[in-house]
Amino acid sequence: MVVIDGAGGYVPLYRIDRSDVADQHGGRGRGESAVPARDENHVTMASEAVSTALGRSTTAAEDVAAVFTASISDQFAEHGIAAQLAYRAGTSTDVRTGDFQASGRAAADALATAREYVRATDEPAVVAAVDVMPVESGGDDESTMGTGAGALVLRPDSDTPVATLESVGQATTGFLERHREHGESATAGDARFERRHGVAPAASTAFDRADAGGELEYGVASAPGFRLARTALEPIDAERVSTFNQVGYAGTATLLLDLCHAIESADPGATIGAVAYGQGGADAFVVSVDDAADDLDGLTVAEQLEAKEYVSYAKHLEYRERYDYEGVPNA
Amino acid sequence: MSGPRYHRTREQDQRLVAFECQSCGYVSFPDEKQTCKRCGDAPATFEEVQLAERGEIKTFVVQEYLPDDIEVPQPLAIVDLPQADGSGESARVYGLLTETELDELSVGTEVEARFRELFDDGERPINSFKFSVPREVKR
Ligand SMILES: [Zn+2]
Repeated sequence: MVVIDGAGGYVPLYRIDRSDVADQHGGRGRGESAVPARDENHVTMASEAVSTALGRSTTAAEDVAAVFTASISDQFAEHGIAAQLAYRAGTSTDVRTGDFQASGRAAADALATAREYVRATDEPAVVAAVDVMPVESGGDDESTMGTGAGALVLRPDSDTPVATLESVGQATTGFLERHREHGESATAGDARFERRHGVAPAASTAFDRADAGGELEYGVASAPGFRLARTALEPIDAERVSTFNQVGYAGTATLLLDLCHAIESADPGATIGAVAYGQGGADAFVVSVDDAADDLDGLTVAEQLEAKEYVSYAKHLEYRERYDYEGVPNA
Repeated sequence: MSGPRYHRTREQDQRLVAFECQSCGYVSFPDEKQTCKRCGDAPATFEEVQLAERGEIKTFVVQEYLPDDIEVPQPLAIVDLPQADGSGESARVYGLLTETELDELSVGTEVEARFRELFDDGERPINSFKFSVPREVKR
């Protein structure tokens, strides 16, 4: 068995009202998306989530045997996130690290790998995902690309787990539609085609393999759009828990942030089906919520969604400006 | 030691580790000194102590004139950070404030250490501690 000994989400303070984006370029905007502060970056945001997750766990940082991270927007080709998080958290130098990238599934890859690592070694592991999704002024997805971080502490067992990771299923279909080159904005492709031929088969196969059954109460989905995510949850008849309308698509972070949000909001005993769709396929996880989720230290995701300040359209571009390395210049 | 200066204080830059004088109890942050600034013990014996994440503003100034790439007004505070285990003295720490409006600030305001980008070394971010009013105050 592998339990979730701690979970933490991080949402920056700032938001752009999507109607302010619509006012610039036409169209309509509902909801809002999270914007990083000017002095936040991948490592600082992921550190916030890891601190919360470790603080809620029974695991001491020096006992963490592996730190696996995911990101699809880190501006560095060589620099890495996992080792920086490990040092900041205070792990032993004996820790195993891994940086997962290049697909929206990367957080699921990191989580599934951490689960296997915990099973193989009987030692705790930390998984974190963080993204600042790049935007292009006037681009189709400018108003819905978000930012945030999430982290989980996994261990073989615990007297007071917040949740249990019951099963995992994957479907590597090789299907590719949305893609993004360094220095370019994402090419979304044909969303209807992707929903029908990419998301639907991958998500349903992944849920089948996770042996999800029909009785999951809550569903969490990570995919680069509201409707893509909704399609990913069609195989299970569950109530959707999502930060999409407050945070936007936060890349790989969405899976762990929304899963943390679901664990925090659900009653002990509840079951959650979580699916991450990205380039190449989908992964599904079945999680059951345990008693310790009822009383957690630190701000919940819901509290962070509430504690916010709006920034102007100009600031929304400016604050993300340095993330143009793998996106597009925001000028 | 070779390499950039910030490497020498890397641990205290990332983990709120301070140094307590074993003669008089003075807590130094971020530097581990040879000589105790208060009792003059030299060479002083310092022991590592962990600081708490929340402390209190003792005084602050507001910087209005800064290079263009720094947002103004930029408050700079002196914060007393207690030791995490509640023992001994607090460390007196200089820190920039982030995500904090001027009307949220006064002497005695509770602030929280936040791990943030302090500056960049060319293009590489150097992360360390700033302070902000606790996020729950924003609700
Ligand atoms: Zn002394």
